[in-house]
Amino acid sequence: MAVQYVILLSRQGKVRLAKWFLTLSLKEKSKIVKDVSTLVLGRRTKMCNFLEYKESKVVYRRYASLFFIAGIDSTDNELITLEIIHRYVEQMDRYYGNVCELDIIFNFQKAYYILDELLLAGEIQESSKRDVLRRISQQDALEEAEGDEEKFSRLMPYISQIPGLSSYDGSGPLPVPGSGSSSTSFSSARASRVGSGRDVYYG
Amino acid sequence: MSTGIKKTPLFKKSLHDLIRGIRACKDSEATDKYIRSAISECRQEILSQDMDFKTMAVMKLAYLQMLGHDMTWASFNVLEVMSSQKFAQKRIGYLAAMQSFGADTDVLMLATNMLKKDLASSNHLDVAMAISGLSNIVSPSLARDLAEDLLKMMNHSKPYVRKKAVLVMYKLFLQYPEALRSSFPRLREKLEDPEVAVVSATVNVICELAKKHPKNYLPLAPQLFNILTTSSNNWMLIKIIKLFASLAPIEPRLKAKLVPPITNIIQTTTAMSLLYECVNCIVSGGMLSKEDEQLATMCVGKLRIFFEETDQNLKFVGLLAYNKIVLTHPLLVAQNADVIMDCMDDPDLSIRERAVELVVYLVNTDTLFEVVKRLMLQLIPQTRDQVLPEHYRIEVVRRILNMCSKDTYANVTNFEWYVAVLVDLVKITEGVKDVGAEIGAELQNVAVRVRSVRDYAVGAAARMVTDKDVMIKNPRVLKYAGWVVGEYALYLDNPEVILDAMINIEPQSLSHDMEAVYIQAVPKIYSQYAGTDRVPWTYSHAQEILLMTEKIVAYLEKYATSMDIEVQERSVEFLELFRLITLAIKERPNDDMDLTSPALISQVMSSMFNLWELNPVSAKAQKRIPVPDGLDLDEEFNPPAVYSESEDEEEALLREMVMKQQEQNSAKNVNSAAAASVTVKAKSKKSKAARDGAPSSEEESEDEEEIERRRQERRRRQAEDPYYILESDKVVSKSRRSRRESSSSELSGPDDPMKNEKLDIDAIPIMKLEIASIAAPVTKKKSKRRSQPAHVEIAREETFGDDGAADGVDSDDNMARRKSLAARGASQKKGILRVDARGLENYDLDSPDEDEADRQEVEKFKAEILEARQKAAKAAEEEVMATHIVVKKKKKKAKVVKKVKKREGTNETKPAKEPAEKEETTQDTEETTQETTQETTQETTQETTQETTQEKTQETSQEKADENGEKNVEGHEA
Repeated sequence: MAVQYVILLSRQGKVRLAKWFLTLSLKEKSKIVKDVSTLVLGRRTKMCNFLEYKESKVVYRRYASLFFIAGIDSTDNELITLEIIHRYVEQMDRYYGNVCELDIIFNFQKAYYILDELLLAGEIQESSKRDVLRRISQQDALEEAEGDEEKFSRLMPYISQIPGLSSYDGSGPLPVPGSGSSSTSFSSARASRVGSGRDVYYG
Repeated sequence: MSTGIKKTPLFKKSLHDLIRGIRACKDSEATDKYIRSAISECRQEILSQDMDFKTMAVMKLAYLQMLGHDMTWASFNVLEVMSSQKFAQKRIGYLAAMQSFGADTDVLMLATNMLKKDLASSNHLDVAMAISGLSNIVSPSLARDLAEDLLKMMNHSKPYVRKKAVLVMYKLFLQYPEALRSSFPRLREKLEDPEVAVVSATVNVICELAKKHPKNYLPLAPQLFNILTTSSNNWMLIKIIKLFASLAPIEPRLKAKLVPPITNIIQTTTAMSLLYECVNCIVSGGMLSKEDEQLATMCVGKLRIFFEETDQNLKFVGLLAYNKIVLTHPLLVAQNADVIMDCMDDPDLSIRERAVELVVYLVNTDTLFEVVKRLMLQLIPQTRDQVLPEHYRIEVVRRILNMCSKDTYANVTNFEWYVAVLVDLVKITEGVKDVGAEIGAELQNVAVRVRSVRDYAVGAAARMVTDKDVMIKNPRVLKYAGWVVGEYALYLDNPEVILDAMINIEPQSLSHDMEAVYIQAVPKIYSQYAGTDRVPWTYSHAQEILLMTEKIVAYLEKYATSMDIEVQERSVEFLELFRLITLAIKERPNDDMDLTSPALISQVMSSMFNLWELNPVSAKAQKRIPVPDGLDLDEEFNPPAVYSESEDEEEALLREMVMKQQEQNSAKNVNSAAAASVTVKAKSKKSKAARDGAPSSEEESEDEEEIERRRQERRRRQAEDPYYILESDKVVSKSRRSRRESSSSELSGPDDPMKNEKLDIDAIPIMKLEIASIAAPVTKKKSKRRSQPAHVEIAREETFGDDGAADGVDSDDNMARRKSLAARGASQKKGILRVDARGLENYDLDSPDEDEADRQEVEKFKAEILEARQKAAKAAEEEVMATHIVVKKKKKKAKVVKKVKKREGTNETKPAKEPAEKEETTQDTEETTQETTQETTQETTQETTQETTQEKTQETSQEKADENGEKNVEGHEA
């Protein structure tokens, strides 16, 4: 087992993400989170990024206000684990666009999705940076397409009654035809799919 | 979620609301309250028919689960969301499942079909999600049912799915090792996959598998080697090198093949992680034997780069690697002692610990002073808030003791310095748990082994005993200090001061084991104080002694009622002695004319403690004492009475208990006898000598009868011999009296037991040998000149028998036992972070498919059972037809009776109902039922058959279990 768990911890000791590649009970998980949090928060800068915890090793690194913590087997390579952590941060940075703690808090599921593309069963799954993000954007696009379909099908009765607002989806600002939402930077990938959906409804 | 779901105002709370709400809570109490209400809302929403509601509730619960709140109650609803048609909902469902499902989630068995469907989906994103989900939730039954589907996915057209399928296989194998056999060929194919990510995934899986059972994967070595030499992907290279590290130890020829490419990587790579992995592979792959100077030099040299960087991480892993290499090449590592020593004062404690660990191997006589000084300085807190954590301080103390005592104090040239170090350690480790005992043990060891500093060590111990600070801050050390001042009371300048200090301690300030040591030490010091003639026995002196004796009596009285049995026994025994002494002193005439000290003090007391000197004895020595002839450890002292046939279970149980106790008793007896006595030892040797047929010149004249007579005599004597019980046996577990130059014994007369025994012992050649070899270093006078500290005499441990040979066997035995114990321990009490891979560890691809054989066997039995049942049913029918009587049979015993009767020729079908008859036949039941199935004639009833078949199946399962057990053992051995 390469990586046993990944925990994102705020400087105040709040868990921002906890991904387990082992099946453990909630109690066991909580114990590990608690123990590891105390260990990691007690470290000062200028100390090395490795710790020993029970029969495993803990590799952590602090990025801004967040600690990224990975538990590994005692025979595993600490240095490459640091690389994995760094890779994860890079991916999130690209995905969220200059990621900050709040992004992860409010879109925690996205952080999990990215991790799921990077690691599987605790093993590194994809060493290409580009590929991981491509997969996530594919999934997002599929989700968007479904979501749009649904929204419009729900609003259809109202939209038909209000002339002039026929393209308003009920949530954001009035849409400009042809442009995607500006919340993420993957508009190009999504536009092609979503666009085709719109054609059906607004054509 | 950027879909419309969360923004629909129909929800009480969206995920964003929830998160905001939690963040708005001021304290933990408010948060708890808020979360509780949120969860109860979720309980409502999750039951909704609207999938959006349900999904949102599941999502919120997943968020709360991350914060440590249970959501297992919602497992079924999670499953519902997982099976949604919409990708967005499915995605959330899978996320929640991955977060919350565990091995005990019972709804998992409902998930099989859904997962099958998702795996077969035309949308590769669905497939990928199912695989990712499966990697977290796979259970043995899911693994069995989905193995085929996943096998297909390994050949999916999209590499994205292929790599995921390959990776999830490892999780599958963990749950269901049998899948390994069917999927191994395909796994092997994947090493040749055109897509590098798939190859990398395959390497990852094989690497993990090979850690458990490397033998299976040796055939892959050529393919893997090809990847090693051609790939430039560092992620994969690291894994493949790790994989070779598992394979190399079981195939020594790999080493020659691997060293060139790995050397090449080491010399060319710029990636430290890869470099580190290569060095690790060379070390843990067993490629670094003593002869491989060149390879080792390269590794050690490359690792030095790690220390020249400012990166703390590199220092840390560098130290880890050095710690491994130092075991085979200490000299090479020692060349880098400068950088390692620098790490000893690193601000990072993890680095310091590793460095200190390493330094233990690197110290020599020249550096020991310096290193110990630096470590001691660390223990002294500079400022109040700079106190190091306790575990580190303990570690440092242990390492100091470790490096000094290594190889029987090979590095210590000045023992006065060492004693001073120990004294300082006691002072600076106040409040550090347990190390007091370890420091004390060292002090004791030095006092026993190094005669030249014994007076110094005794002085140090005396200062500890009289120091009130030590009592408060580091009391554990007093157990050993107390022993030292007692045993070597001869070296005390002022025994009365020590005595006063020891008997005036506050009750309850020491633990029971320490009290016991003190109680033992007080008489020893007393005999030194009162028994020697350093002060002439005058009336005034006698009064002083009397006063002291009375004080001691008072002191012992306090402990005579101690709850601790050892303390109580010792104090009661000595109490009687001291009361006698008090009387003896009082009986003396009250003037100064021609006074001698009472014989009780001057002779009896001193002979109790001062006859022999204690020498260090090897901890293994006792085990080597052969069991004497005529001593049968299995023989019962008190054979149990013959029980009648009709004994019931309770009696049997009782008897078993009694036997167990007897066994224990006999074992204990042998133990104590062996531990305590020289005599048993002598006896045993004698018997050994006799067996070996190598009688000495003296022994030749002795015939068996004489020996026997003496043995009897000795046994009789031992019964009354007050010296026979070794008083300080408990304290001085390592030491035993064996020095036999008892010149001081004034009691020796013609029938002195000691003397007689001594003769006895000397008559035995082996004992002579031992005395010669051991006495040699000890008998050297303690007039060692301190100006030549390099030649301090350190008493070796005494041992018994052929040291070398026995040692080897012994340690091998022990190792094996420890290994097996460790293995068992690991399987019984596994850490929560350890993956349970026992199935894989024992899974041998080369072994025949035992499972198949088992299955066939089971089928066979099933058929037999069916056949027997049919026959039985038929027979019962016929029977009923024949007699026209419906017979009610409640117990098979009755039927058996009936059957027996029939066989005897009685054609009555009347069921036997008399209880007496039942009783009679019960014993036969076992046999007859067996016969019944074989004969299966008209009389057999269905019930009987069932009984037998049950037995049979039980047997089969038992056999199977046995086979498995054997397989396990094989696996472990392999």
